Amino acid sequence: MYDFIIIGSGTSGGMAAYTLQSGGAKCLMLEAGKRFRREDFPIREAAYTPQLFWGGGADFTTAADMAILRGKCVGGGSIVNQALMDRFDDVALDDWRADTGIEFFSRDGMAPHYDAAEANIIMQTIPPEWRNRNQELFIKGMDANGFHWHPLRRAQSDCGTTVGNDCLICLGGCHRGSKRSTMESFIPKAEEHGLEVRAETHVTQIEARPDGVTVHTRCNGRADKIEARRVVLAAGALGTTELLLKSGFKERYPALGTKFAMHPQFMNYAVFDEPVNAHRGALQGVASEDPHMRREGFKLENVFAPPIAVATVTQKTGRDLQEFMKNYSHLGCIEVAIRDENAGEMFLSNSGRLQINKPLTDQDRDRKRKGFEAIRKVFDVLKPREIVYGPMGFGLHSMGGCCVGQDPKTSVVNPEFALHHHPAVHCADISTFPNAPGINPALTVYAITHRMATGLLNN
Amino acid sequence: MAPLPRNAKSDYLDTAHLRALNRVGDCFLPRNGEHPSFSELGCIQHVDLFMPHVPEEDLKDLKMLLGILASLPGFVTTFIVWASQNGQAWPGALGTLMRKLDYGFRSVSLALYYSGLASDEYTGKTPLEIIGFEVSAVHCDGRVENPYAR
Repeated sequence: MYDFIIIGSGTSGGMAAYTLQSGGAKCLMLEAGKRFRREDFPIREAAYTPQLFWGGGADFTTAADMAILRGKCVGGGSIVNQALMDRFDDVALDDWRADTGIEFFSRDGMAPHYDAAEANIIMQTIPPEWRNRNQELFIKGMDANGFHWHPLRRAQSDCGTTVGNDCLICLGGCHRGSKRSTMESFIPKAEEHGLEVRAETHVTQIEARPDGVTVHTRCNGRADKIEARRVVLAAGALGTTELLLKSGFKERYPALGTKFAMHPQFMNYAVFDEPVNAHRGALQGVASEDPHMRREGFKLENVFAPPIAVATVTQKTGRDLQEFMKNYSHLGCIEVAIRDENAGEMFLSNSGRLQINKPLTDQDRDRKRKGFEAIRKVFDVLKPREIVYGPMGFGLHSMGGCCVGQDPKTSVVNPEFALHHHPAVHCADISTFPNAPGINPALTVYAITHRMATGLLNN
Repeated sequence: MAPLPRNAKSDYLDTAHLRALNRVGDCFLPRNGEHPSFSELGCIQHVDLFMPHVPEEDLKDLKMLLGILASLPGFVTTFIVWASQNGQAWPGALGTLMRKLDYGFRSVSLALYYSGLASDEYTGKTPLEIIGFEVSAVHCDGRVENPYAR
């Protein structure tokens, strides 16, 4: 019998697998998506989008006004994200402590777990000489307005931008093995200690008893049941919540599916007369680090995207779209990411499909407006020919649904990251976030998972 | 609308579905100067890049919708595409339906059109070539490739 079945292979699953397996536990990791070798990643955007993301590309909120992106492959979101590694600041941790009453949500409380995560991930802070023109324009506009910014720290080892590699293509998986996804970092190390990984294995239900769990799976059309002493849910906000809902946990956990949040992001473009070539070189290098923006609940990130994504978010059509896309190499781009209110809810439809009700609240819309205004100021200084605001948002960092807390009425997971009434079921993935921090979540997911896993080993 | 490419076959959509999708694509991406229309480009030949990964429920809805559009005059498709692009103007559940339609139509049309792919018989420039999109993948063994090169 396995000591642990780990459901999901992304940030939380990878850290859990490595910590537990190297600590002497016998673990099985189950992943619904496919396992790619780095040389097999479908590099073309039209190929990787349907293959590497749930829903054939995206999930949607019930009102169909926001697309939600989540990775579906071994490595999960860490394969398709931008690998940004940020510790939470006092603003985020203070809010978490206030919401949950959990004291270790503090700099000192989280420090050993951040340290442990960082010790196992190669990271680089993007230096000035790696910046492309898009980043230079962002910096110039931010400086002219007195807005603070900082260079980004990424989990990467050797992106090869100095020898001509264009990092845009790593949105479909890193063919160089530079992006330190869990597939390149924690999972291979865990496999050296004996971790077993089964890809393309969908978990349909879990049954939890005080003495163990039964995990129901489907692989290649065949149903199976696997027993373990405990299970670690690491399928992300949507996946973990959906699994618990389908396994009938809602009755026992009224908070299950509630407090769903994300960081809605809106891409905005400036059209310049001279080429910017934002798609060449390092894709992301800088972002805002501005106290005023932090208080207002948004941040600005310097990003770009391949042509299909750029075309889709503008919501343009016909000749208007075609003429705009001819400017692709002349586009500068700034994305606003909003720290939204956790007012969303996930539930199952009558046909058993996960529904995500996440309206933008008045506060969210106000933050978006302020973010757009800041972007206008940054772009205006640069004197572009035109500014194009992207109306279509997409939800990154989906979080909540299975929040951590002390009160079983308002949370699902306890401060030890076990379900309140089910000591054999554990979860420390992003579904446990009590609210949106406004900071990239990956490093904190690694940290809280490390806390959970080391606690399990100690017990 | 240009006819379906000779090699336009799908394991998921039949010929009528493909013709309807071609018509939808032309609504989003018409002929415009050096830009071919969606149907002229023939990118629908590659529609099975996406179809295996579309959730079953969504694929069923898509086939039903395309089947209906295939049986109606072309202006009906034009109207429905126009209505879906103005989803924000429709209230409540109707607005939601229109936005879903818009995303479905838009994502398939734009993804195929800007995929860098075309039909076997197309000899003009692809939209990616027209916009001058080029990237370099420098592999660890030193190989350099443009993954979008035809």
